[in-house]
Amino acid sequence: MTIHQLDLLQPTTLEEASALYLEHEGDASFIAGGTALLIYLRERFYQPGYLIDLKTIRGLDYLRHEPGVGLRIGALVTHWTMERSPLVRQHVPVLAETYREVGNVRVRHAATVGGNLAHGDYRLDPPAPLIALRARARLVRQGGARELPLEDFFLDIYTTALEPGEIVAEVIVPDPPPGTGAVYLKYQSLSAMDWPCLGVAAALTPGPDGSVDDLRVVLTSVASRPVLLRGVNELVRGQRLTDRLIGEVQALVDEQIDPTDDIRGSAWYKREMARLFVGRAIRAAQARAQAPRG
Amino acid sequence: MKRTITLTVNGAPRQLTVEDHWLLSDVLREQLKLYGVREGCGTGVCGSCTVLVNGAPTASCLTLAARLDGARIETIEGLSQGPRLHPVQEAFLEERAFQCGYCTPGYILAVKALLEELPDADEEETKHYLAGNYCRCAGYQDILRAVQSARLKLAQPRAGATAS
Amino acid sequence: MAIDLEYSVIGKRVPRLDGLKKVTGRPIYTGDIELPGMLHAVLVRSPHPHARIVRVDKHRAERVPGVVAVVSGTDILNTPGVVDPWVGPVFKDQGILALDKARHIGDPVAAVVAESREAAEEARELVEVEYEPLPAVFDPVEACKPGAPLVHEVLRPSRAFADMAHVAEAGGTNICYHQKVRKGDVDAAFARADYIFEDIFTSPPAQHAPLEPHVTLAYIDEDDRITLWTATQSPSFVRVSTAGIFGVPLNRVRVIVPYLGAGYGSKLYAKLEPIAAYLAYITRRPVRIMLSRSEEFHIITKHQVVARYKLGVTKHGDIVAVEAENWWNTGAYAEIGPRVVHKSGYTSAGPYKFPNVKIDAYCVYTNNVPAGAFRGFGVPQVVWAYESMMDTAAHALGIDPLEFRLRHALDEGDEFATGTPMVSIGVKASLRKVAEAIGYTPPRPQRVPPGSGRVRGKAVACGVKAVLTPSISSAVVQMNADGSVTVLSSTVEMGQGSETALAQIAAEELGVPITKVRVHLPDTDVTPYDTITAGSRSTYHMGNAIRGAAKQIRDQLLAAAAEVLEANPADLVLRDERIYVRGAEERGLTIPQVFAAKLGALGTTLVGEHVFKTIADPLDHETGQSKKATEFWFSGATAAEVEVDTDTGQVQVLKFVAAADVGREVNPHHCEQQIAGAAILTLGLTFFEWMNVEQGQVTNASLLEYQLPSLKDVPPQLESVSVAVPHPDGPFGAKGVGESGTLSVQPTIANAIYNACGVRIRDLPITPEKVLRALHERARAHGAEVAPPAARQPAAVENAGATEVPE
Repeated sequence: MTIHQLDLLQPTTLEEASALYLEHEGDASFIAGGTALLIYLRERFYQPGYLIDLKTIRGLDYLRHEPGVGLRIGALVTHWTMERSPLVRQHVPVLAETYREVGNVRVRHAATVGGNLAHGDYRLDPPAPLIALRARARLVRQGGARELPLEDFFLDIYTTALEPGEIVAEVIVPDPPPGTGAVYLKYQSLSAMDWPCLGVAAALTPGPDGSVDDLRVVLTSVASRPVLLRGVNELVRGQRLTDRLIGEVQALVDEQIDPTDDIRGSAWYKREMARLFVGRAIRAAQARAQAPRG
Repeated sequence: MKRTITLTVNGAPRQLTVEDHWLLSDVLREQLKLYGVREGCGTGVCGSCTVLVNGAPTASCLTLAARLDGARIETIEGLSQGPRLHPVQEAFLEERAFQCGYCTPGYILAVKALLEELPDADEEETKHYLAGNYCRCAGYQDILRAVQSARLKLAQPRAGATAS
Repeated sequence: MAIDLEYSVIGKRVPRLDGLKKVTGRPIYTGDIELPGMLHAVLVRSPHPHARIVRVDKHRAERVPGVVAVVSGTDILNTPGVVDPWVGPVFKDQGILALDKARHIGDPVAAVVAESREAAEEARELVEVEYEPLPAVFDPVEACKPGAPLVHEVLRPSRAFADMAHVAEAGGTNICYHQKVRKGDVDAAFARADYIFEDIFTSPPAQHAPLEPHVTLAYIDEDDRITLWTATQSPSFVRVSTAGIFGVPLNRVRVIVPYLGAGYGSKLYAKLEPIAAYLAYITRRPVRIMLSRSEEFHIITKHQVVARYKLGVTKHGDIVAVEAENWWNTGAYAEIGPRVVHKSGYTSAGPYKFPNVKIDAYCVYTNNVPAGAFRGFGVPQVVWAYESMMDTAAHALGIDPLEFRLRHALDEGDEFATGTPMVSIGVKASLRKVAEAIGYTPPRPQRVPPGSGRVRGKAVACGVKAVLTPSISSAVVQMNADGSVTVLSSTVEMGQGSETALAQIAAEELGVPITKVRVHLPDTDVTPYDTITAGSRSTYHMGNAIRGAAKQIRDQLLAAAAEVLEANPADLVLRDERIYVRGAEERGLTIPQVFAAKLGALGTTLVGEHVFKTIADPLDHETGQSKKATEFWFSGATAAEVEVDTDTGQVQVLKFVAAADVGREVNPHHCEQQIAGAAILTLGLTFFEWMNVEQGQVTNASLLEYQLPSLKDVPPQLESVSVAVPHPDGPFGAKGVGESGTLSVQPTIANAIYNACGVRIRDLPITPEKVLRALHERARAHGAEVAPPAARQPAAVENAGATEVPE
């Protein structure tokens, strides 16, 4: 299918981009990597009159680590950069691993960190570890900016906390406390290149004596938005992880997710797998975590 | 909206007038007659329309040409120099890593990008990188052999390969 | 090796003739061809599974700038010059566009043709169609019941092919074809069986998904002839079908087929050609029509099949009776469904010597997307059932399933279910090969509860297919005075390497290097008739036609050389571009010298022509019995080792071996590619490829949702093996190879899963959820674990008085 006629607007600053959006509100869409948007345009699901190009904005593709702040990721950094960057591999290896699992190599070269979040698809992989690691997004719009924890960013299917004209400018991933082990497990029930049946991220910070100081578990694809499992630390903080304790965490899953039947599994199966992979993810995070010395 | 963009296509600068909504795959095929760019799925999944944009493997079916002003584009047509094949093409030919040939241009470009971006990729990394290019005839074993052979060819200085 | 001494080109890994073109991206596919003034067409598709078309309002669409014409079925019916708007290879049941009613979601009801694709697509949105929805039927078993909505009121046979000459006019039923086999007395045999096993096995619809979509370019030339460049596997059929629409002589239609971006059975018979020809006819401009990927899901599919099997076995392990009843969901138009049902139907008992057989296979219309040929031509769906059943029976009897198969498998001269004596049958040889390669040992299935980690199992299965018979391949071979050769053949090069293999056959027969042979791509003005490029028939049929044609040239060359050399033609050898006296190589002439002696001018030619036609003894209508059901059989066997994760139900294939009886390898590399490619494709169909259809609506009609096997889905170890049981009449002994690798893949996997963890999956695809559910179900049946909703009851049904059978 061809795409309908539209005008591409190419601002050079975030401020300008936001203003253009507001000027054409209701008939405009931002475009960054465009890998998801172009599919919708080609299928004519969506026919905006204007595309506002974020790639023409300079200085949004930085990736740096600031002591005391963490990893600062410009919104236009691509998945491929996240996958390959020594900086990411050194400071937050789980992010390199997760971005590596998204789509295919062409998608990863084009898709951006900011665009991925703004897209708000409930099946995307990166939000899970980002939320587990308490990442925040810096959102910019004409005349203002704010920071939002990513756990508050996703509201519903394709619906985020972004206000009209607001743009994800940066993602900040604070340095996890020393010894933290984090993983993301993507479970594909069909082919190796498929969307996940579900995904689970876990970040575990050990306390003294092999106890747990902090554990955050996030599931994707099992509700209309990523699910940060509630009530986990109440169970595990200060405790040593045992099969029984992990079982108690797994028992939290059922009430907090709302999976739907699709070709990747029935709701029943996804519930079974959500419990299973929560257990697997916690054990894997624990295996990676290093108890503080001394 | 119409605009004029300049692309370097297979090494040659090309000035083109494009509509904002035109896809790179259509521009390459219809304006520049580069028919080695083949659309297979229209959703960026199959890899048949892969071209290299500034060296990066790109789904030309999901790319707006208007956004590429100043970009460097490589298609299969630009790989061989007259009768001299690119080492990746040579490897595909020798290992017969093709059947119907429809996925072949995109596959060869993906392999070229792989060997440039990750020259030391092991088997797992190779498969992970290339898994986004489908070969429905499923000549994957031949393709993997071709990648291995191309890797060796690129690691060695070239000795007069020709297409004859 | 003996073969190497005997032949100079056959059996060699000669490089493909299309190689250089393909690695440089230069081959021309149909969609690359542009003509001056070319228009673009798109189709308007029905959103209803079954609906009368009340009205098509074209006005808004016609006003879009660039639109040249908008046409509906009514326009076609009112076009002078269209003498028959109905097409189809078995029944003329499909209009150029839907002419009276839409019969499936996606059925084309109107077409828009415009100066650009953009204009056509924009206008498509503006065509307003008023429908009167009708009751619809989707399930093939339901569609056979009295009172089911009728998809077609009357059926008119099209008589396009000799093998389908027996189909009858029909009406008042959705069953458009019924294949019966009756051998022996099954009722009496079941009565004396000690055990009876009965079960139902299902296969879902699936997509061929060649990466090149369907595409046709039609053009009315300056002589008023209809020319079609088209991505088809059946140029000869397209010619006769198009001529029929317009009532013109065959030489007023020209069909040209460039390389295909593959077919796998999807690009056969009448697809886009009728509408493209029609639009060119009314606009007098070249018209291209090319489907999008999502439209591909609405043109042709693999048959969904529901297969009931019943096996009667003695306590000594002798199978005394088999009864098979199969319902084939052929969708809204019969397409080639009846042939699929005919050919798969009569092989539904498998490659075994069963004394008593009863088969009923029904080809059933429903309001789904039409189903047709799919690599394997329906046979994988029946192998899925009978090879699952064979394993079930063997395990129940405590017999090694491999042993059980070998004991019943057909040998040379044994009678098939059709009463046909077997000739050149390689089932046992293939089974033994794969068993050896996988390191087979008799399995001991264990009842593993869910959640017990990873378990492994190995298994085998086999299948047999009969080549389409009768059928025809014709070839013309021309040798030029310099010894170069041109082969005129309508075999379509769609990736299988026919161009190279057929050139090898010509080169061998004419004693020239393959580089001197050029094979002309199909062009009905130039290349003679061929039934189809499908069903693993081309190497054998076109190979024989080319060999026969080449032999005529060879005879002329030898006769001419004999005169010069004063030798007996029978004592001459043609090899390496020379003719010489056997045993006295120095007494010889080069091919150009022979031409010079015979014809005496530069650039002369010799031509040979051969029509290779196979003949069958048509299967008896009531009993399916035949002295010769097919020209040749080709069999395959596969073996797998799998690992089942009993926590998730996910299955990993650790090692897979596929063997095919190819008769003789014309080109070993092609055989490997075909066998491995077929196996990988079918592994995809085993685990994750299926069209998800809800009330006639395909819900996964894009490659984002419908999955194809990628590099990462290939088993870490995959081996393809050619077994050579030469056919006495095959070219150099060759049979076919394109489909053999598909036949038994699916039951091999199911059997291996059973051997790993003791659960039997009966419904494809084998998703992790199905395996996990089965594990839970079994655990619940044995009083362990909490379990999910019920699946199916156990498979073995005991006869009264029989002793207990282990599971």
